[in-house]
Amino acid sequence: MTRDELNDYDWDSAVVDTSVFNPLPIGARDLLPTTSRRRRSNRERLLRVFEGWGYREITPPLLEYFEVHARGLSADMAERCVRFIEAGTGDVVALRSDVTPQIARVIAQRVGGEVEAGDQVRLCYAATSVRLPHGRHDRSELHQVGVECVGEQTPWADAELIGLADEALSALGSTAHRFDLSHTGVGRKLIAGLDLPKAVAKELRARLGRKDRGGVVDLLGSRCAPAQVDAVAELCELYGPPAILDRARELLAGVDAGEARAALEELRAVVEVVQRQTPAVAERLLVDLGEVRGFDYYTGLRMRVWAPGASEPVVRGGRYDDMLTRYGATLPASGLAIDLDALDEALMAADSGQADAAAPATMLAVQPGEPSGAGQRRARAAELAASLRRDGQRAWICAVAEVESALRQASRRGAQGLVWFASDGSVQRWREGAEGWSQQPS
Amino acid sequence: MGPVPEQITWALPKGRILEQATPLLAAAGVEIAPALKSVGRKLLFDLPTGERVLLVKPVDVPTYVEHGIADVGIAGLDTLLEQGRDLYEPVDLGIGRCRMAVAQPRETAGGLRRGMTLRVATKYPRCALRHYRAKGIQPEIIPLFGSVELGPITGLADQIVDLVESGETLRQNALVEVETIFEVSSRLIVNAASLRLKQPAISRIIHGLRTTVEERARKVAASQ
Repeated sequence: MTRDELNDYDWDSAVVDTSVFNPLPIGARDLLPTTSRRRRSNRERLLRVFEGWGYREITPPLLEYFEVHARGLSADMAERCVRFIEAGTGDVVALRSDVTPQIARVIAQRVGGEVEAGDQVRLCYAATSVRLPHGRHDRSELHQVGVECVGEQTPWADAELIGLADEALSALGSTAHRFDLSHTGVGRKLIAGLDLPKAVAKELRARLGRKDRGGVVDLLGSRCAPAQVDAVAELCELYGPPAILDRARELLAGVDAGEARAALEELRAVVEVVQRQTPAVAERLLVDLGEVRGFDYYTGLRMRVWAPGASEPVVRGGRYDDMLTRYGATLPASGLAIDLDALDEALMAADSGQADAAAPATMLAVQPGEPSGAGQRRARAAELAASLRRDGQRAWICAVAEVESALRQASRRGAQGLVWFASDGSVQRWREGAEGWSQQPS
Repeated sequence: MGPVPEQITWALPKGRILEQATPLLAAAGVEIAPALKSVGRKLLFDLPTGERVLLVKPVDVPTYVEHGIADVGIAGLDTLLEQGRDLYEPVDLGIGRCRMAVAQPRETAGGLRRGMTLRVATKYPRCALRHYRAKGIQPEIIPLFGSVELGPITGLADQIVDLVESGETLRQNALVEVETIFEVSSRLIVNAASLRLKQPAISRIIHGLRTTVEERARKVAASQ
């Protein structure tokens, strides 16, 4: 941990009596200066990569009409929207809980105008979404940087997302991340083909989601043909390097599941593009055919990127071709979002992702005294501060009673230099080195 | 905090389940018995084969695994269903078998008084609530941490929802089992990130344990 890092943890907070007031709602967090600065640096570097790939940044609003926003959300996520009533209209307004539906709305609104038929639109964003805390996901804010690519439905467009995610993560120094690819069509079509009652299908998805092979067999054993049970149960084990796609192909050949086979071939096509175009990235690919969560959102490729040190995926993304349909335009769409909190965990664990070094900083401390003298000292300090800033340094002025407390304050605020304007008119220059503060000859 | 790279960490439940799991783990190549004898009261130790072991209270195993502090663990279905965590449960180990059941005093077994709020004492409030709601009953759940059988005897509750193995405790406290909610056994659980980042090692564990469990089941079936 760097010294700057320690500074964030050292931020003394006075003990508050929570019976009088609670400082923060559940799930809300402060990002203190060092973390916040690293966050800004990561965000800007990621946006630069996205810009380099032709994505233009937009800033959608934090407020949406709930009815409109929820069209683009899964049922679970809609439930977690923070909502209130709009004054004057009585309409229900929600805080944004996901950026993708917003961008879908923005683009759908402009089809026929800014967006012509056949156009491709690439947009990126850095935004915070708000969700009611839920289970272990007790963060109420999700800080993301992401892209949306609208207008192309090809394996190359899907592979571009993978390449882009890899370049973005690598730009921040990530080396050990792994892509986890799935295709919602495989599980979805296979389950649809079983003609199960709704509640059973839901339970089946839950068990598949847990890779509970025995549970799947128990649930389906008496309801389906043995070959079908085998095929679905086998999904629990079909994860690993892309070579498992061959096993999946053999497995699906044995059952009547044309659409699931088509989905499998779509996924294979994406993997092959990555293998051909960027073999180094292909080394990072894993395939998971048992992944069935996120059904009411994704329609094709689904991608998660995992990195050591982060217990949540650092990137989530994929294809959602009916997202714009929900807003009145028929255009295929895909995208990804990087979770800045998870990314930070991973980068910290790998000891990378430090912010660019901050400019050197000097604190100018003015000792109070009788008014005219203090005014003169303050003016001299302001002049010095301005000249330091012209040289690219950081400089600020404080009124401080004693030099000792000025030195302590300078350390806490990350200054390496202190200039002390004493009330007797003298000026002292101090620097902080490995042994602490020492006065410099003037 | 996520998984430690290049090392598999196990979260194992202290107590009875661990004894039953030890031979299964050994058959799948994870030999913990000698280490268990020599570590005394240590809760964290490394095996000669390189794995790290955390010994935790059974109910805490899913927490360690979900947060990625451990890659794999062993937890009962009762705990998993009660906590509803985001984990993989690829292998039913077939140990720690029992059932989640509803029980009530013998003298009320003919039927409970109608028109009252059903009071249910349990260590598993979420499982209990789910069960009653599915039947259209809105009970008053009274959470307890132990000696749940006392609930109906003392008049604290009308029914209990609890784990039942032989039924002996129920009998001794004049309770009868009226309904089984689900069968319980211990599962291998796996962290989602570990499954990707340590995929070959995790796959070996899953296959090793599954094969061991299946062989056992075959032997049991053959001997019957």
